[in-house]
Amino acid sequence: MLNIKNLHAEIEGKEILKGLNLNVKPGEVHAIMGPNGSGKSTLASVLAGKEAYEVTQGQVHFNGKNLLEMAPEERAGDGLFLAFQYPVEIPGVSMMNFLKTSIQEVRKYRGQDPLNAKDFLKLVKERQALVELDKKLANRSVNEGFSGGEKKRNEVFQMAMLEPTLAILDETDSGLDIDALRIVADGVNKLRSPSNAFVVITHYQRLLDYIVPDVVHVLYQGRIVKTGPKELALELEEKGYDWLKLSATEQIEG
Amino acid sequence: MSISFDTWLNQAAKEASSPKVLGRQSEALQRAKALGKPTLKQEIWKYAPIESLLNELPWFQEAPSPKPVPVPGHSLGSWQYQDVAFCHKDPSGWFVASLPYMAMHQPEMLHHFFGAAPTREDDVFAEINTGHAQAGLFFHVPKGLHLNAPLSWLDKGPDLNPVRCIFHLEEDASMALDYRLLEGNGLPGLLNHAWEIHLERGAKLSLRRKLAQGKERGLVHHTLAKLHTKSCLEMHTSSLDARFQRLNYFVDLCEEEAHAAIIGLQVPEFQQHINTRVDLRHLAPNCTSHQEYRSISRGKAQAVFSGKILVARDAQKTLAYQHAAGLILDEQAKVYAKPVLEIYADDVKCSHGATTGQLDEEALFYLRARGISEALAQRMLTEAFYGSVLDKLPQGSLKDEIENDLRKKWS
Repeated sequence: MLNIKNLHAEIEGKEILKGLNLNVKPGEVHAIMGPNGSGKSTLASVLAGKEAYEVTQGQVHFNGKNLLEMAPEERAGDGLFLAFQYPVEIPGVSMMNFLKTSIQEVRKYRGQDPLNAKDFLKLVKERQALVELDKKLANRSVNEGFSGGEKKRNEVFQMAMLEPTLAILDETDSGLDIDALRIVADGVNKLRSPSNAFVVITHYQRLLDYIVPDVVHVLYQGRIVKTGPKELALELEEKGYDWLKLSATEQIEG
Repeated sequence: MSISFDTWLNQAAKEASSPKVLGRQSEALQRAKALGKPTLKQEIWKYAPIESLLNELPWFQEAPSPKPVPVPGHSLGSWQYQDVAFCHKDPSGWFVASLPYMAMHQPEMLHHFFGAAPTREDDVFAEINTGHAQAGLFFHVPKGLHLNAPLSWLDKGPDLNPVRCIFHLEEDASMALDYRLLEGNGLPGLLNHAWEIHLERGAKLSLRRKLAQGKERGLVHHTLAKLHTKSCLEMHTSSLDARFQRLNYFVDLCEEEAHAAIIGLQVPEFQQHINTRVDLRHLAPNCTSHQEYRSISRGKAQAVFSGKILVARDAQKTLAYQHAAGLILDEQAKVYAKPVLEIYADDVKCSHGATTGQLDEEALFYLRARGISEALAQRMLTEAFYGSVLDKLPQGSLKDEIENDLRKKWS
């Protein structure tokens, strides 16, 4: 589904990703962990198509298409979803208008008929319940006046609305208390299916107690330096990243 | 044009000594003559292409203008501000009449108010308007009368001669007016309009305006307002389609607890220039004012907002707010904002702010990451930018119309 080969990317002349490889198949959940500054969020932004990042080398294929040539909205239309680490507040654009426009644009891109008002509202209600999102939030501007936890739940809610084939969760757990974490994780688990996949970027092993990954990768200095089963996350929690940094440096120098 | 600006001013000032002319008019023309032709060197014209405009556009009509064509389909039909016979008197007691009608039938009333609201004596067009306006409308609402429905006026601005409208609301009277200045005959020219507003104790006037006189025409428009105790003036103006516009708001809060709100939107495109100048004076204690202006500039257009708040020594407990925001949609488009506070009282709350920028890249990306095309995302963010100002208009035809006009611009 997602195939990343030797990806190099930079921002303002500074190289962040330095030859990253990753393969994600339908039905899989991949966790990407790593210390601050290792390039986790850069990877998420590059995949979603943020223009500030420049890809200098490598290839990314998504469902057979060359992802790097597509506009952000085309990527979304083709089923890629990024849950933002810092969801953007957009004063003056109502949540409902935003959601409706998003759904209809994505449906148009996929060649589906527009959703009628009744079905749209039904879907909103159903998916709001999935992440226990306060109905009142739908009357506000996008993310405006939302608490940190509400913003993250709102991301998962949008994901549930758009039904992506590949969702990238960029530190969706940061700033969440235990209850919110469980709600967000439950939402994600309910959306898991054999045909879609998740890339979960996180600092902490905690989230992975709830969203159990098939594979855990460690990202360090712009590359994946270790890949292992879910137990790797526990090992990282226990030992920190230093032992990996050491071996990675040896690996790079060697 | 066969006559130069200064020659015309000299002649007008000479004629002003005729006994037909009111004292105030004569004084205004003398001031106009002293001010002379506006130049970019004068601070109040700093950003405005006024010199080239005066060379290109006829600014004064030498021959009498043809009779205006009646406009069907509006609540009051056509309001013919040159027509000596035009007077609409409502059974409830309010009336609107042309200035020629007032001069003929109620000269004392006309003379009492005409030119009685102060200008700032630095804008030659405002002085010319006072000195030379012979056409216009006089609105009068008697004591305690509330007009339930807003009046609606569609103005096709047929005349290049100065037009002056006078609003006189007696104690505790209230009215609202939806005003549209439209393209009319489309002939090029520079219109000179002034609205003079006299609000007595507790009166409330709400003016909602769409100014779209067209790509060939310029407009200088002056709002001269004098507010007495507990009176309230609310102005909401959308400047949409104009080769050139200069709006002056000269508003005086003369007595306690008066309130003025000046809210507006200016949306120039191509090479248009839209320019708003507010000069608001708090002259008495416990008055409040609210200014909120949004500018969106496209193409090579320029939008200017300069807003001054003066708080006189006696005007304690003043509460004044001013905010100007600008959105620049193209590389060569410009938005200027110039706030000025001049405060002589010591117990006041005055706040002001100005922001100018492009569309928020982060917000654009967020929308696009949700499948919304770049063009549509830009439109949504632009609509959000002016939405907060448009939302201050009451639901109704004018709001819908302006929303549609703006939507057409983006699509």
